Amino acid sequence: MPEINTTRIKNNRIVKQQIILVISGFFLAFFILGIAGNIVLSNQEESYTKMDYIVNQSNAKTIAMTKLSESIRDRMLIVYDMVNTDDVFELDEMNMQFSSKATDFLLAREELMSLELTQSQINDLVDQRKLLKNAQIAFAKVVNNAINQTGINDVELINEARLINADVLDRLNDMRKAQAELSRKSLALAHASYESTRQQMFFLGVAGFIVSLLIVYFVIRQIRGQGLVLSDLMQQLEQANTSLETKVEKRTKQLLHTREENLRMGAELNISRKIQHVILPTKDEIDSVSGLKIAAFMEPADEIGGDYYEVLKHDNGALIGIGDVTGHGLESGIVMLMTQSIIRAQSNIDSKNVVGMLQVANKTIHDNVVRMNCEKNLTLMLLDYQKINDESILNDQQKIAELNVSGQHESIIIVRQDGDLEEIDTDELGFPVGLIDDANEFYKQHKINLFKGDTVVLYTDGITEAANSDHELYGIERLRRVVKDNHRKTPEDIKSLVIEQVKKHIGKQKVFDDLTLLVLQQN
Amino acid sequence: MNLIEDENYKVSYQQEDALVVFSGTLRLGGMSEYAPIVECLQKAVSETGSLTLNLKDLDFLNSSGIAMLSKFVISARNKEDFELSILGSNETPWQEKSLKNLQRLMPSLTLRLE
Repeated sequence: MPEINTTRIKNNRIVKQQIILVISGFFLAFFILGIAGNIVLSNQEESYTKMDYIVNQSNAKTIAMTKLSESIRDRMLIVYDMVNTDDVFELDEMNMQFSSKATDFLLAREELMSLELTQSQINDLVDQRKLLKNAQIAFAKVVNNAINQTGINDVELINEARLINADVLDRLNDMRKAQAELSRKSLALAHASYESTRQQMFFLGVAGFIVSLLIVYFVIRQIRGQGLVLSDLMQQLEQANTSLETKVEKRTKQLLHTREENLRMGAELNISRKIQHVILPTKDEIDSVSGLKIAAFMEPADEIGGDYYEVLKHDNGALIGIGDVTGHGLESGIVMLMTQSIIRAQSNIDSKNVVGMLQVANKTIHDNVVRMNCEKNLTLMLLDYQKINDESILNDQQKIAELNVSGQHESIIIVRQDGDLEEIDTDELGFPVGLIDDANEFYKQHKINLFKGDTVVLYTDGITEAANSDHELYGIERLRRVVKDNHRKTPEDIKSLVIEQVKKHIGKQKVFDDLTLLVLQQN
Repeated sequence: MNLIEDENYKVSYQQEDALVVFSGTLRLGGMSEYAPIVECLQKAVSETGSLTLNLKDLDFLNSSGIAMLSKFVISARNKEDFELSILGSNETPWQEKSLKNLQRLMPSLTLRLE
């Protein structure tokens, strides 16, 4: 189940990714919130300090300015009082008060100057100093006059000083107002900074919140995905289990079937092998044919084919047959068996009528294979060997026997006693037996005259189509050559040489088709 | 039924060219399994007066298949003025002898082995 393994590995990776995501997400959120808190705190502290400072400064300035105004006003009132009294003691006391107010004024001024002043305030204070100096001189004169009781011109002097003082008071008042305005603006600024801090705090808070939400969303999604993967995995497992069960069941059935099939095929093979062998002519039968030496060879392929050969001795020679049923297996064996029976049955009636025998065989085999629904057919060639008994013919032509051939099969190789090689193509002598219902018109007869020492070779395509590991066929040419080169040897030796050469050619390759070879030699 | 195929073989009837092309390896079991191909061939015969069977790429045809083709040629032989051509390959072992036999069944059959 490699698919599930892959999913498991993928799943482990997802779990790791998820842990990393959660941890890094929380760190990120903490980091953002930490920065937010830090900024907010420092901004707020700054704002408060600023505001505190502004308020303190403003208060101090206002107090100092009020003191200035009061001391000026008090001195003016003292001057008025001094002008309107004659009591020397009172005058002295007033004079002292007048001086002490001057001290108050100076202290207040000093106090004001020590505060953080704007340039215009400083300028104002410098201007006031000049005016106040003039007023001071005027007042001092009034005070002196009052003390010396010479009060001439006092009214003018007082008026002059009063005007100056009023001017100074106005200016101080303006300064106070300006200061108040400045304070208001500073406060507004401080407030604005406080507001922006609040906004920053709000935005950072929102950002932190969104980040947290995103983390929660991703984690939930991952968990959900993991759930899906898990359920998918479970499903896959379930499916795998089910399909495994089905597979095991199927495989078991297959194995049982294969075993049955093997047994059946093994049995079939044995039967086919037996059929093929039990029905072949015995060596004694073959050797008993007079006038003709015969060597026969048949070796079934690993998978039984349907090769057939026959030697049926009769009074004046023998009926020889060779054939090859299409395909392999039991059905081919059965068709071969039927063919043998049909031919043997007819040979008892007239073994010379090779054409007639093939016509009957064709019709019979055709009807039977249709019934069997296997459509097998076979190449089949019959050769009736007849010795010549007529003395006159014997003497004249030296011909001692003839072969009457019919049926479509492989070619017939004849090597005459002097080494001449003849080859007879049998394609036009017949038609595949059993292929069509009526093939009568295709069966023809051909006569081969045999002389002393002539060799005739019959074979099935298992010989010529025997292939080596390079798929090269043994071929008709090699067969011709070996037969021609050894035609003076006995049929048994020629047969052995051919088979030896064919097997050498095949080498260790599997033998795909039956090998059948008949070597006939006229005595 | 202009195309009959499985993993091993393909039989296609090309109406416009009056051509039936066989390819692959045909090892069907018995005449009953060849029935769809027979039906296709009969349809082709009924639709044209001149038919070509291209067997060049048919690497193997079992005995049932050869029987099927033989029976088809016999039925075509019985149709008046019908022209049948078969294209075969010299390089495919089963074809030479089998296709020549088909020609013997229907002497007017044009057989071209390439």
